[in-house]
Amino acid sequence: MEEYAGVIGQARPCIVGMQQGKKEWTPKRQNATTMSSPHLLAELLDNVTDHLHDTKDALRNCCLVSKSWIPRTRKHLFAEVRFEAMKDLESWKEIFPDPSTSPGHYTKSLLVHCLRTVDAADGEAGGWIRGFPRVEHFKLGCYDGLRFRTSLLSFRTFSPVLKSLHVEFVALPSLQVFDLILSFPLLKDLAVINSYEIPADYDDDGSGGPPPIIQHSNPIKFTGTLTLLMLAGMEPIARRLLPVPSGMHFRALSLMWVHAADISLTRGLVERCSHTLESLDITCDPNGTSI
Amino acid sequence: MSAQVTYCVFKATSAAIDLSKATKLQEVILRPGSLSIQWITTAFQTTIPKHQGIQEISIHLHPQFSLIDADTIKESETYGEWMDLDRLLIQFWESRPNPPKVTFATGGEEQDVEHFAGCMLPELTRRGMISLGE
Repeated sequence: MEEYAGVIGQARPCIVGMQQGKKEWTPKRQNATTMSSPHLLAELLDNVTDHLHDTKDALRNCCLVSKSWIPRTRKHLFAEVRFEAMKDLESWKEIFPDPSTSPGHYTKSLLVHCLRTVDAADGEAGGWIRGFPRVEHFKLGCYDGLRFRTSLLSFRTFSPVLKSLHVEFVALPSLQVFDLILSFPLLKDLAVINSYEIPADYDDDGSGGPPPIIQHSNPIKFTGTLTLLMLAGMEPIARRLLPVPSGMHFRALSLMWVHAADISLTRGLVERCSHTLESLDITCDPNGTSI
Repeated sequence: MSAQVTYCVFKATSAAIDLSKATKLQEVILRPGSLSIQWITTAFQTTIPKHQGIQEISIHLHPQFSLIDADTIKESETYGEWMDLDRLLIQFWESRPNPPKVTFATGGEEQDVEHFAGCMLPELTRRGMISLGE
């Protein structure tokens, strides 16, 4: 522990600064002292790291204090992980080659916008996706206009505690998305968004048929918000949601009408959620021509 | 402004959304894609007997509509639908001990929105029952 002793001396003034309402990481070497041990009461350490939760530089320096500080700082440092580009994901896999020890275990919010770099092996045992088992909020996006070829099966059931799923595609592989939805038994909030109009004949990835739908012993309750902003119409997702056996208990519906069918689907969704519905938001697409 | 804008959008005519069973509703936000809003009136008619908990009703029109002049609107076939909605929302407002906040928004300059609201929902506007949104 002596190797960390000098660092704790630098860290202490920052903690004092935090008590004065400053969140910047401003070590003051003139006040540095050497601690005989970096051990603090767990409650105190939690308090320190909680105060620093939005100050990444300070958290990174806390990691240098002692190995015993690392788990608590990582809880905040890796609470949100974003893979916006291929290089982000490649870096992650290079730095954390073993998913079982990666800080993905601390991640609550995960964003993946580089789907084209994801392959089947990533979702298997030893793949990076399995290193994120505690994600509660998951955003998945594919924004290029090319035909979607990556299988979403890799993400199925990756986090059994997932509460919120946000899927945003140009060309929606609706069967795969619906299968993904049903793989998360604690799902409350669901958002499916098409950024652009997609070809009318487009549905799935051309992989030869729909994947088997996962059946849970405890069906999904859907108790949060349902957002369907789909420029090709709500039908691909809403039509599959309506017959879900456990029913729907959404408190909020945010829907967009593009085609005449969207009205009857809205009627069905409102009917199914009528006993819990608190907020209803309907947008008629001003560019729509079918209704 | 040409009335042409009025007709380049779709009409969600009389298709009804039945809110009669959704008695826990607190907030309703509707963004019509055209000036034809009979479906909104029909939906609110299903809430008349119950729904004491509705706290906010918002109607958001696309900013392009605020550019249409009043005379064009009053001559359009959809103007009567707005008068129906105006009357219904007053009835809705007056029948509740805790009336909801009614917001009307079209984007654009505040005075344009105010003028547009006064044209489309005249009685609500005259009684000061309506808030103007952005």
